[in-house]
Amino acid sequence: MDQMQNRTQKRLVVLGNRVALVLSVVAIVAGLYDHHWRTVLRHALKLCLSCIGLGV
Amino acid sequence: MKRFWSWLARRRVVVQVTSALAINSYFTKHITSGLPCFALNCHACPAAAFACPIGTLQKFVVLRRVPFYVLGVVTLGGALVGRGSCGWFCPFGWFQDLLYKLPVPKVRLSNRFNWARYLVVAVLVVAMPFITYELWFCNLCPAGVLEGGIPVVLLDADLRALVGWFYWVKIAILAIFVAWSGVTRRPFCRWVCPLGALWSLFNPISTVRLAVDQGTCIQCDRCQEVCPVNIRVYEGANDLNCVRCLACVDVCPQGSVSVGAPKVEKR
Repeated sequence: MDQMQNRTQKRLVVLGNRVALVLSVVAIVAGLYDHHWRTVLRHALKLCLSCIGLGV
Repeated sequence: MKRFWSWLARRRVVVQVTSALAINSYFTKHITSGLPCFALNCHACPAAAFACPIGTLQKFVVLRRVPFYVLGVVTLGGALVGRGSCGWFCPFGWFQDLLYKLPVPKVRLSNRFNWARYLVVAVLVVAMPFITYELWFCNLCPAGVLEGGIPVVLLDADLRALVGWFYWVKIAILAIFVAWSGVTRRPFCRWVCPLGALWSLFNPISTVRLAVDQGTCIQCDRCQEVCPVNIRVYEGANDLNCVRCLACVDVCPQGSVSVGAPKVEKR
């Protein structure tokens, strides 16, 4: 009984891992399709003064 | 294989230094800044070559756009190594590791209030930016002032004129964490870091995971002594707090802790 429970638990872990990997790739592709890369780039290159405590 | 992981664990600092230099390698920033890095590294740092995942996440919240791309990158990191990036790649984690080496009295704190970091995600990363259109976590982030605020002010005389009271509030927050890191291991990672909070959710299902052979473990607690987040590894090898530093693999006298991907034996 214990062995079967162990095996089921391991199967769930593997399944969860695979689902997370697939979802992450799908999300990245969806984001790239929606030009998120450019939004991230623009935001990262623009210096946010209030974020580093300046001008307040 | 265990010998390899022990060897690697003893050279973690080399990986941390290399990662800090790579993330802040400057020259590629106009291309690679479109990619969130696997660490909490402020992109206001003059040398930062990648975007901060948490700063970017807040930006998408403010823009009212679903952050597919950033969440995808964070999920990918989590699904592969769980919180491993905190232990191996994060420059601010390394900074805290260095501070803990200072010869001052040490205090070991329990993990009872570690849920606070999930509160930080909900309030400072999602709710407050959504309501006020301000990047609240960035405004209070000690890593931001260390990697961005201080270097920018030192390098740019024009920006020095903009230093006001809030800059000193940020310096005070950093000073608190510097002092705290000297006496307690990785306080920011354990109680505050929102990126660590997101990655911790993947610890139980990540590809790289720890396992303890309960048959050979003698529960000597050597693993807890060296653990940067104060875990008894034999009670939960893939605890939500584990940063996968592998110090327990190296220190275990019985060789009971191992690293590997989850496998199911075929019938």
